[in-house]
Amino acid sequence: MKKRSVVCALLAMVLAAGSLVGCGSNNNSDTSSKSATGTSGAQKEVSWATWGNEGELARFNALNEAFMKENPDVKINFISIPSNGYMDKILSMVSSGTEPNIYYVESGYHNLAASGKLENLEPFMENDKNGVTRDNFFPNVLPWFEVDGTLYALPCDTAPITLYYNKDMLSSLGLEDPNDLDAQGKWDINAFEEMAQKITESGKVTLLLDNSDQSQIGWFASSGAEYFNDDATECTIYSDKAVEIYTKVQNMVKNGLIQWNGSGSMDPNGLFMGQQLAFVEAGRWLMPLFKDIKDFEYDICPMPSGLDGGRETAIASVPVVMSANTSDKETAWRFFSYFESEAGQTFRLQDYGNCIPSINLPGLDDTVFMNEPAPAHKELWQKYRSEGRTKYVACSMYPETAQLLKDANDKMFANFEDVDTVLKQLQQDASAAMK
Amino acid sequence: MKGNKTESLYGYLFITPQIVGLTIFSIIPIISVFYLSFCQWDAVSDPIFVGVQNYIEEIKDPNFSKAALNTLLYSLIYIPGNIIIALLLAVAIKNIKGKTAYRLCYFLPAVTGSVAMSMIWLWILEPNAGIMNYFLSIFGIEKLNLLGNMATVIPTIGCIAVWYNVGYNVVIYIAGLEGIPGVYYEAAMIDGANPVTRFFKITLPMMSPTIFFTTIMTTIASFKVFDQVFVMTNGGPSKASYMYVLHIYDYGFKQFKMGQSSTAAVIFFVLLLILTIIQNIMSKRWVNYET
Repeated sequence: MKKRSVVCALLAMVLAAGSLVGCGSNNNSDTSSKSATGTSGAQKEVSWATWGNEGELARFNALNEAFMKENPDVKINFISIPSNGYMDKILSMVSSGTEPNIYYVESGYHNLAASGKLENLEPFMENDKNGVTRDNFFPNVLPWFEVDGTLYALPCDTAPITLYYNKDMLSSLGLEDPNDLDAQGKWDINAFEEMAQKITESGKVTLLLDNSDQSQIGWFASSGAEYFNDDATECTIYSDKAVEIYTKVQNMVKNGLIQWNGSGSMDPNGLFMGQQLAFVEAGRWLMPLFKDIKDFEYDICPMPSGLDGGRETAIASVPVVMSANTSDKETAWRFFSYFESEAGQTFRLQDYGNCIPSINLPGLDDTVFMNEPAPAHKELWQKYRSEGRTKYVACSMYPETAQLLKDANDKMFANFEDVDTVLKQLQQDASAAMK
Repeated sequence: MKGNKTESLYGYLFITPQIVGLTIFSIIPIISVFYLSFCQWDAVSDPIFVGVQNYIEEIKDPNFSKAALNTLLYSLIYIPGNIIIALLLAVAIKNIKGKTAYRLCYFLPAVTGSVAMSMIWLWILEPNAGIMNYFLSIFGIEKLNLLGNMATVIPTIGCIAVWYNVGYNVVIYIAGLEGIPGVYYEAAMIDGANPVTRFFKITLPMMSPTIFFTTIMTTIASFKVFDQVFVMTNGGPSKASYMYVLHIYDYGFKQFKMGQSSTAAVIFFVLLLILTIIQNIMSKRWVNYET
């Protein structure tokens, strides 16, 4: 009886321990902000998190190894979080004070900065020995990352949005190359519409228009349909120009010239590689996938200019931040600086990486992407990185406005509701959300 | 007496891990959600108590009514589909040769991951390159965009969900059918009852407790729909498939309105509780417990 009691008690303790063993562990070793950059012996620890596919994660691991080789006193704990649900996890970690020292922010950057969860990077950037200083970043990209004039994040890289197109498909339909048209000043939304007519008649798909900030800028802001004013204080979407361009695009969707992919249920990459789709709107991030295409020729071209000849090119760029909870900020900055430096960006982005550099240093573009064989017009990325613009700051400051825009786009392009009515309502709702 | 006390002590010791886990992972979060439903909180700053303001805003919010209506429409397909089809399938395969194989085939979808299943259906239904439209084109039928059409998106997701989950109820119903004593059927056959009469007069009444259980579980599951909608349509097109749990997730994690998201969750809990109580009360009229 006594033996049985002892066995039962031991079993109960094992069960109790087992039910608690899953609490609070990350994919890698536990490197919460409060405990990270502590010391295990003489070694300091820095944790950082991001998402990525298999190839990207392999690059990040190699970058971590390279950094640790140069900095043997620092151990990097890398936390990879799936992109689907990335911010859910980060938000949970921030709420509990267990976020990594350095991490990518997919959405809600301005909220995080305003609530004091992010470290001011300006003091670290002054005289940084790796060249990670304000002057070295592109002046048209950096303002998005400022909160009341202060930098709480840096762009990890940049991806100017262009159109990938199937050269063979256009050529077989007797259509002129978009880059040739652009050189003649004729590559605009009307020329695109004419092209779409011929492509659709041949049974192929011209474009899957998606419901993103980038599309808003490329397709609509180019024709003067601005969602917000320059200082993000007012919603300005309801205008004659906006009604005109939205009506034009709505008619293109109604007539089947382009397809609305608002819910993202259609996969443009697969369709493009299967030679069913003529154009894909994206940044360099498709090159790791497209670089092995051998069945047909493809290239990139600028977004078509708008109704008045204007052209706005969106630049996608992800903020990388340092947690304000980081205990050893100097060590964390050493890694952050390396990550953003010429060496770090080269490591991450060369050999068909997913973006192009966010810092402007001589020779860096040549090292990273300008000497690659594809695409032929890769200089467009370089050009529009300097001339383009980042997404709307207000959508980050007031996340509800981003959802309102998506809902309005769905109404116009999935439901074919009256454009004038929808845009008027959108302006009212977005203005209310900003108050 | 001492023996009883000792045995009770061991009993409590064994259930302690479960109670600790339940408290940490269920009870405390539930209490927190109730508290947060009365606060304004963006998940990163401190919560600010605002009383019933969130509840008033939530009731007035058009997204709330849209999500509730869509979930109701989805449930009108999912619940009858799962109950009726599962029952008919169970009756059909109960005495058939190869019953085990049939049971396996019907149950297989239920054990695959819902996300993987949704991705597969996304490709099957892809309007430009999916196999469904390929087969339709063989018969000269124009391609369909079932998930991109506001009128068809909820029926489509509902039918996929029925296909995915019907096997679970089939297995339960087969177990229930096997528990019905054969003497009732023998007596009915002697009295000249045909199969349809036997089904309605014997099978259904005897199966009523099992059907009641699956109705409750299926109702709760239908209102909790999230995975398929999140993967396949993300609530679109134009919020045509915007379900209630997606609404809770959207407000909490996309718009950083954790307070209002918690309010929506509490309202959801209350609605489901009322529905379950109504079902329990109504069960007295049609559920027959054999004594």
